[in-house]
Amino acid sequence: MLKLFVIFIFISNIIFADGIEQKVKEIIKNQFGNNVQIDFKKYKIPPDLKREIENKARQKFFSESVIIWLIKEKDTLLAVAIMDNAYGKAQPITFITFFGENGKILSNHIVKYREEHGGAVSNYNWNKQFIGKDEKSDFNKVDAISGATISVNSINKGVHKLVLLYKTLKRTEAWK
Amino acid sequence: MNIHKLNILILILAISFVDSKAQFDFFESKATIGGYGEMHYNYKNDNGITKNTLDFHRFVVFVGYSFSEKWSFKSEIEIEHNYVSDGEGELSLEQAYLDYRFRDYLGFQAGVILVSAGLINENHEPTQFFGVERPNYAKYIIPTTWFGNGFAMYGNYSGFEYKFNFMEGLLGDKFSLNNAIRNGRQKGFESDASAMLYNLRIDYTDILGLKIGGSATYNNSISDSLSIPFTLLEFHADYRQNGLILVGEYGNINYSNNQLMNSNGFYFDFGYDFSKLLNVDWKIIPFGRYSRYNTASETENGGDEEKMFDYSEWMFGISILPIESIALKADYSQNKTEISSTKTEFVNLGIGYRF
Repeated sequence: MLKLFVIFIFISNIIFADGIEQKVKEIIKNQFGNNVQIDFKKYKIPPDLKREIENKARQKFFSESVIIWLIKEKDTLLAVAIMDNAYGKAQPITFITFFGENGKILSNHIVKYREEHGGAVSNYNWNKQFIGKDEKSDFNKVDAISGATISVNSINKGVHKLVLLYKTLKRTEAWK
Repeated sequence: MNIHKLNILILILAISFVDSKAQFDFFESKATIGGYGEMHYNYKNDNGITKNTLDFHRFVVFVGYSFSEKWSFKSEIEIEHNYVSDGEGELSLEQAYLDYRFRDYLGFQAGVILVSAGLINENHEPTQFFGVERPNYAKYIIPTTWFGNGFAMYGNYSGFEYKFNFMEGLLGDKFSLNNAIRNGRQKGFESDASAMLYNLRIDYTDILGLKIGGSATYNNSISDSLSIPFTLLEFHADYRQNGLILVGEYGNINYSNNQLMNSNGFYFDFGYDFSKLLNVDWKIIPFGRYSRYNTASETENGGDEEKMFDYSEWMFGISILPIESIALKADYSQNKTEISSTKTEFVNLGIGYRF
């Protein structure tokens, strides 16, 4: 029994993606195909802008920086994604929001969910509700998930925050 | 298997658990604080005898710390009924455990943990359930809040969430006809570990708005004479979509070597959130509940003893959430036992918060 358990843990440690970078690359390849160029950089949000967005979205950024991903195909920009953490009950939830050039959300994904309960916020069907939203959209209403109220509202505010940040990016070095 | 081979296997296991890859730089160790609380006004009319109480029922603080991506600590400290003195009120450590999240599909906990039974035992903040007080089902069939010292393995995979608890058992001598297993909880107080409790829960959450699952709990509960083995099986479902809220739970406890042989019960909630229809930010949710539970549905003596604690209950009420973290509640309910024709009436008002 112990032998089987050890073998299971050892093999699964190799098979299952666990690193955040590795998971994001998998998400990108699933959405945009294998032939895209992927680049990412840490982007320090200007303090005044950070405060303004946090006040509007009623949620703080996890730190002074977010990670910006650029997805290109033959040097044409297909999408920009922003990754941040939002707090669940006690643990940070790492999520990434993909934007088209028109500022509308292409998709939203939970990269790493660390809480014991409420993992259903990772479901594709729940995250679908963000597709097409932009800075003019209503972020006051969000689909509920039983036992995951805090995570649901936290991700909703987090996505709103990234939408507000995205529209400022075109004017910054982060876009290039 | 000889000792040498066993040691090699354990070494491989230990190496597997060590983070071999440098983590992507996106995590900071942080302490978190949260909590919830609820104050209730309760009116009871039992055949003309009335009682009014105003009670700050629960004040709870959560303190947690994330040491790393995988290691964390969580705790929940609760004061019930304002203060603790001379057997009144209660101060308890309802959760305090170290958590190691190896992968999404496998994590471990050790410390004071919650039994994974029913919808409310693990999610008991006042914004999470209908009614000012927790449903009677969640008091008499699932003895919420049910916690104790022990160990857990948990995880989620492909829409399934699961948890196995191995923890302190119950004191069988304290089981009773009117409270079922409730008074048998040891609550982590120098727990007698001579007969551990096994508890397994599985939920499916991959259908939008639906959580459905069940749990099985077994304990050969401790007693001065013959031990009293019991099995608790329960099923639950919670559906929230397009304003509609449907919640239901059913539980059944079978006992051996005991005068009390079976307890069972269920409740069903129906609610509708009018905020979208009314185009308001506040959630306004009228609801109704039907519940039936019998803590002594089968006894050795039988007869009227099996009807004395057979309650049926109707409840109507409203939950108003101005923001997600605050609930204003009101409800009216009637309940009666099978053996009595008189009804007891309750009116409850409550405020609750969580952060």
